[in-house]
Amino acid sequence: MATKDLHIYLLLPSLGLLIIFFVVPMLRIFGLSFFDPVFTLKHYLRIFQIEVYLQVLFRTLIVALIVAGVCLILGYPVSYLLAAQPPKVCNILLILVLIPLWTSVLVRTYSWMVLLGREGLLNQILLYLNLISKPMTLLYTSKAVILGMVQILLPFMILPLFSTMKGIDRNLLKAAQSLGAGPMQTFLRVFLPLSLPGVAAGFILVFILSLGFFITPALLGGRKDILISMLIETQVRELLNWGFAAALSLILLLSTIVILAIFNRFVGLDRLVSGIKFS
Amino acid sequence: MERYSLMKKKFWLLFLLGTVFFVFSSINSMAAEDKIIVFNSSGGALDAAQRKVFSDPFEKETGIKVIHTAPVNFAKLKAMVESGNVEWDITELPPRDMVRAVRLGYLEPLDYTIINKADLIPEAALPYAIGGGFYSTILAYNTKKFSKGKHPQSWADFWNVNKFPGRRSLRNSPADNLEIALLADGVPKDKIYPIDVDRAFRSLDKIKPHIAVWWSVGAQPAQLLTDNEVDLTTSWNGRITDIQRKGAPVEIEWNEAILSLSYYGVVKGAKHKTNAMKYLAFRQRPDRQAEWVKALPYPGASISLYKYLTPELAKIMPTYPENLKKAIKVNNEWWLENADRVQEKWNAWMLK
Repeated sequence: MATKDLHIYLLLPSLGLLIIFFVVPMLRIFGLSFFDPVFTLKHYLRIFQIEVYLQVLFRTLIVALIVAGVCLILGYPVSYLLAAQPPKVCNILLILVLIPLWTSVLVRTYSWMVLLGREGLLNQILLYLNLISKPMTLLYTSKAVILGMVQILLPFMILPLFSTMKGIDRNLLKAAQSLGAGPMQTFLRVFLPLSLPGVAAGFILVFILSLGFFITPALLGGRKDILISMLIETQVRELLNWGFAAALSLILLLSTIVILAIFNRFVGLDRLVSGIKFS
Repeated sequence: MERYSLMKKKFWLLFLLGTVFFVFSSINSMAAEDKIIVFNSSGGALDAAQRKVFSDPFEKETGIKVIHTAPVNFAKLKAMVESGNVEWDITELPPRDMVRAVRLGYLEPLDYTIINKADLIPEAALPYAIGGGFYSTILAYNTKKFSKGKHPQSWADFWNVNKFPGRRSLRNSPADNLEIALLADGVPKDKIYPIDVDRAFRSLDKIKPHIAVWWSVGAQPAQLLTDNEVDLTTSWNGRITDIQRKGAPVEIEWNEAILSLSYYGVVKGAKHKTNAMKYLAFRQRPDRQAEWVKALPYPGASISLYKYLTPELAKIMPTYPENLKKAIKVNNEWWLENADRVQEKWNAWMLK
């Protein structure tokens, strides 16, 4: 009983950090968006009256959902494979997954420009093989943005998926098969449900990280690929309108919370994510 | 008893000495600044050149150590001045930020008894800021695509996609582009300001479908030209000179260049004010400027600079008299008043 109570105190350092470096600044941003210097709603009115801002916010959420979805589709089989390997092989493969994380986002974004350009590697190979007659427009499109973001964020999907799958008791699969389930049925009715906590964790992680992306869409995107973080950055750094930037940030935060709440209602995220600790 | 009073005397003597020392040392630190200054600029690849051309010789001559910091950040300047915790002595200021910093009182008045005003281009020697580097947004083109003389020679030509077919790029920002759009639409050079924003956007509508890439980072246009992503683009002049020297087939058209000037200012409440003035004066010396523009064609405000340059080098400077004549000077006051509104319009226009 007494030791259990003491465990709470172990939380204090991280709680303190969170309060000082997250809660307090958040409150300040909250204040900035409503006071300029007296109470005003003008920043919020501007967001809702002028079409651009909600349009860009909507775009940002859609891009984040697509990126998280593509990461899931690509990351799931990889994690499945990883979890099924003996430890030695698994470690090597895991390192391969992690290596890109050691390279800066900017460098990786520029690499995509080298690959996807009109005279880039991909177009040159396709032209050489006579598969196309003139270079394709790959760079400066929404597809390039999503491709670049998926490549950068994929490890954040694979890691939680892998750790969940690693924890799944393989005997359960054998039990299902011995009871007459085929490979497909075993996967769909045993493995998949047990891996859902990892799916939820990875999806949320990638979704939220996508919302803040800035330099990749700016460099790989076309003229319509404006994400909300780009607008916030212009307001903070160029136009010095911190109150408006704060309002935009809070609207982004609020819509993220709403979306997660909707997910939660239909998928039961809290149950799934909290399931990780038992797996 | 006697011994006790002796100790007491000793104590008082020590106390007195300590106080004198303390007062003296604080007076001392008030009178003479430490022999350092903190110089904030955009940094990056240019930092080494800045050090070699300006800071190292300055240190050798005066014994004042120059500490470089980066990047330029107005938000940080604001925070520094408002909190009273001023780290920088000098900061570089992009043109609009300069106007804004002066209005908000973030800068110290410059000491023109230390800085030699007589050799400076007048609009670069302001009470609170001094010209750091002139740069132009110019029309750059691929010489393999357009031979010199048959290349686009004005913004109207840039807009003329039938006479000059090719892939084009513009910056993803209203800055410079509104002026360019008006010039392309036939507005005379001296009638650009105040900008007719609606007319500028109507003119931009015409070129919009023909823009292959909207660049957002300064290094992009040069890259786009060398990679053959585009055949003609706007760019800052120095970036094009840089790739020309590396052998890229590109050329600059100086006609209707949009000329801007970045500044240096001494931050309000700076700890090493006098040193900072000396350093700013040193930077404008024509011999130093001549060294500097060899590295980068963004000249400072010195008028006698051109006595030190070869004709080849002089010709690629935005302030070279021939080029200066053809240029349009950006009106920073207009931009400061209208930037927010125009940016909003620009974003909406980009999404359309």
